[in-house]
Amino acid sequence: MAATPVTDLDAHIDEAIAALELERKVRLLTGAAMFALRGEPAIGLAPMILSDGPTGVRGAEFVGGRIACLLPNATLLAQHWDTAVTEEAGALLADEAAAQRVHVVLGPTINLHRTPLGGRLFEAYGEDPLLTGELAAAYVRGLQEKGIAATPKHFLANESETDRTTADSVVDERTLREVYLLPFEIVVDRADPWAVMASYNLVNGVPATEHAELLDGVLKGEWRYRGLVMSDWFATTSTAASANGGLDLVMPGPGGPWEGRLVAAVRDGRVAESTVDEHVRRLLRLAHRVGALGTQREWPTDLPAPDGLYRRRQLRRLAAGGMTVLVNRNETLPLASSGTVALIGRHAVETVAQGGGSARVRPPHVVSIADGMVAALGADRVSVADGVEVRRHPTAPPPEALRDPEDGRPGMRVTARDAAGAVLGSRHVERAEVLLSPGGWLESAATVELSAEVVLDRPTRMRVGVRGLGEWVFRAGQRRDTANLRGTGALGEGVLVPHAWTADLELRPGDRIIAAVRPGGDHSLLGLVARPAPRPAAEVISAATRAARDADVAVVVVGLTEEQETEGLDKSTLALPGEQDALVAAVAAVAPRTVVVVNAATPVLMPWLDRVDAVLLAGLPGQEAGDAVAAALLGEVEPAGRLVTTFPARDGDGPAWSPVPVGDRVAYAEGTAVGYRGWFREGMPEPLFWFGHGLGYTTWEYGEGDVTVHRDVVRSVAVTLTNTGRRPGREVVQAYLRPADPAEPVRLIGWTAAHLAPGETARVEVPCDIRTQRMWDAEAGGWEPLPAGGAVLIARGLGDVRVTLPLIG
Amino acid sequence: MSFPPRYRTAGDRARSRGGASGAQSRARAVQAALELFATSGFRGTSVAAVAEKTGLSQSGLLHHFPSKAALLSAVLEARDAEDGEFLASADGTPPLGWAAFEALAALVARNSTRPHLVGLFVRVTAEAVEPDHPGHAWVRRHYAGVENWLTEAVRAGQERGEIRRDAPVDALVRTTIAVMDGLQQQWLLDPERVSMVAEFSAFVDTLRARWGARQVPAQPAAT
Repeated sequence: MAATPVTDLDAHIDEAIAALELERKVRLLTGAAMFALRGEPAIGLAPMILSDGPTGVRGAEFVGGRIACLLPNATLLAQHWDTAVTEEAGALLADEAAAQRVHVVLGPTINLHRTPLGGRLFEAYGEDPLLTGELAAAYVRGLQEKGIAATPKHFLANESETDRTTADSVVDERTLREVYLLPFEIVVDRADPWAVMASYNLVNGVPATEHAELLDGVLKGEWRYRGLVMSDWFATTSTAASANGGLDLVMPGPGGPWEGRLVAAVRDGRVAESTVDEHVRRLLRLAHRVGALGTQREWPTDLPAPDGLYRRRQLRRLAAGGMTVLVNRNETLPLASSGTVALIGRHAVETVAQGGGSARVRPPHVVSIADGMVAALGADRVSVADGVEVRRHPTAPPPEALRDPEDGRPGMRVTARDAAGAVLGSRHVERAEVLLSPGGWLESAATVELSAEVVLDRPTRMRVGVRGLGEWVFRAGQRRDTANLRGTGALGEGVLVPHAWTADLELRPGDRIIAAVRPGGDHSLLGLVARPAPRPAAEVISAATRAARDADVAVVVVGLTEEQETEGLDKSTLALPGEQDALVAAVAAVAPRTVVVVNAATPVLMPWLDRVDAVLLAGLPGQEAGDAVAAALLGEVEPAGRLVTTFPARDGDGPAWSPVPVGDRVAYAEGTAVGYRGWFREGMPEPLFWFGHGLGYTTWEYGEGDVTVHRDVVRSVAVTLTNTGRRPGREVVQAYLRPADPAEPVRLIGWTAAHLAPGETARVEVPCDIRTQRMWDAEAGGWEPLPAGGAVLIARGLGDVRVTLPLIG
Repeated sequence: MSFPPRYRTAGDRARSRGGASGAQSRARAVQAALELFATSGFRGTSVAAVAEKTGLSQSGLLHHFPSKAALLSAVLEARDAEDGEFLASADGTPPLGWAAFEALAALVARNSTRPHLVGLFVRVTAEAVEPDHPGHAWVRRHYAGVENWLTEAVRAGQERGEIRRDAPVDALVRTTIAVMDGLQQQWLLDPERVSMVAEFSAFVDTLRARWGARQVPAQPAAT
């Protein structure tokens, strides 16, 4: 840590600022690179490094970077309803950051699940602001206690992805205060984050990066936030307005709207120099906190390896415990210790461990559910059948599918040539995709050639081709094709939007594929496609049902992929992609028992629900996915998760649906009745599963409850709880307030967890938070208590209210 | 954090909206019409209702589809195309022999997760028995198509030695179609009680037990 004593910090920073010319100060306020800040030797400021990070610390490379731990995704962590879990995740990420000498981690994401169609919900904690705020505060503490800065994001009202850089979130003041600001308010109050990230969108007509009312007014003013506010990447569009509005740092750099233009704005009086000084002050405070000001921090060297036993066990536990039992008829789960299992589904063999977008991490491995189940049960008890296609667009093949023709290693050969055809560089790449980007090693290439031998043991009908923007010449065996993959010029499409050309052809062992591209942009993934050609769904389903008939239980693994759960795009339906519903229905009709494992972070429709025996929501479980699913299915770890978002039964149901802006506006018309709060209102359809639902592996009886009220605020709720099942378990006791005024939606006011042995009874006390028992008075500009009265509901999700405690009005 | 490694330009806003709205409107209209035909039948659905559900004016909708009959034929074509893609082998040929009956069982499973498609089929085929119904020609083509495929499937099964030579081809084909359609009707009435997937699978098992040849060739590997 920095040697400067904290008591002298402000004076020391003021001295440092006074020692710098305007230009030297302003240059610090724009990034030096994609993920780096500038240093200033004159004042002892070292360059700082940033990394994306909600589910792993990826480092500075989008593709092919350092191997890092891939954690369970945010909803899976949140499903523990346990601040100790998110604190542990934060501490783990701090170690991962330290291993890469990263000072600032860009997370947690604390936007809310407003509509289930949001593409990026997998990065966020759920639909409730109190739960989100408390979990995020613990995550921030976990990081910052180890001297790594957290960056809660995206401030503010950034709940969907469609047209996110131009969309204007139209939210009334009460809703902003009571719902969308609340997680940030809690995290600032409880954990003092060292950085916050301003979002792409506009809020009520003003870009979030220059929203003086929110940044200077609420965050830095009312809440006395002392940390730094940085922009989301490339989000800042103004010079004086953003500098004067409370934004401290423009990311990334070099370039962008500050630098020389900010110097000019100060010179001509549009921005006061004292404003620049305040931004620098916050930047230096961050630097001090992460040990980049004055004496440099020490970096630990004895950190656990991402693929070491310690991390593997830890990540398995964090994933399995958050998995959520949605249905469990006739105690189908946990699986019996004998008998055979037919494991079916594309997600069983190619388990989806993470979502798409900037949160992506390069893990040491991903244990597939097939590998995990075979390891747990033994190969003689498990048969594995691939499922129907789940993607519309091809992805990079696994390294072992291809071989570098030059050195024979798994992967492909990448050769860059100049316009005259001279080789600029030639490299082996393990995963069959590379990123063409400014500053990268392919930057000056006129053509890039990707070549590989397809690893086959017999002639096979393969789907082969290319991914990425540009003019391609593709050769495989005797075949030669050309393909011109052109983009529309939309933001980031070379990486976020798949552009691919494929053909199905018969290849023989030893056949090579060679693809040369004249790149069609300065930023694009370039990759090869090679996988067995898809079979018709009916044929795959027939094979699966044959396997299911022969086993004692069928486990069908279904799910979403990064085509649905990704930054940059929203969904248009909650239906499972491809013919997965048909697969489940067909298996359920013939298997003695059917268990469905849902490998997705966010709600999916389940038109087969009445026909199956059990459903386990496995989330996006990270690198230990398959081992974690096996531990949960076998009951080695209780999948004690409770949902953090409400699952609709049908497309279109619920308080908020379309994420598509109308005339550039996203109207938050449901107001404060977000998620379960809106679903609980009269006249709403019944959801498939409520926020807070989750069965675990035992049963619970609730006895007498009582409530402690002080000055019309519920301070705590106590209830007698008995584990009436045969297994030890963890119950999450949830307390909701149903206000006296029916116009005020029901809301979570507290929760606590109890671990009880079979037959054990305990008195459980739930502390309740005042923050969801108040109303924002927009006219007076202040908080007021909710009118007295109403009731406290103790519930296992609002579809299963166990105790109702009326309050005196 | 986002991927776009450059600042956006004034043109991005327009581009991010993209064209393709014509094709999108068409697709939305077909989907809306499908849902309405499925719940209200062809006769009970108005062009105005489809337009409203699509979010287009009536004249806007009629620009894409000149008549309600044109909408119906687009809906039925879309349904057939989906079914065909679901059933067909990689080279476009349908499965033959017992594989055809297994594929039908998979199709019934698929239908059980898409009640609106079953509703569409049951309602429209009932209405379109009338010769002046705009879907009449489609219904005839549909039944002729299934009949031809299954007939070919049974004959191929006989040649391959999967199905007994003395199996009554026509009866096998017609009863299979009848069981499938009849189960759909009963399932629509009472989806909780009727498992058309299990019933149809059991029916196929019965056929195999009765008409399967003794030495059934090895099944394709289940991988």
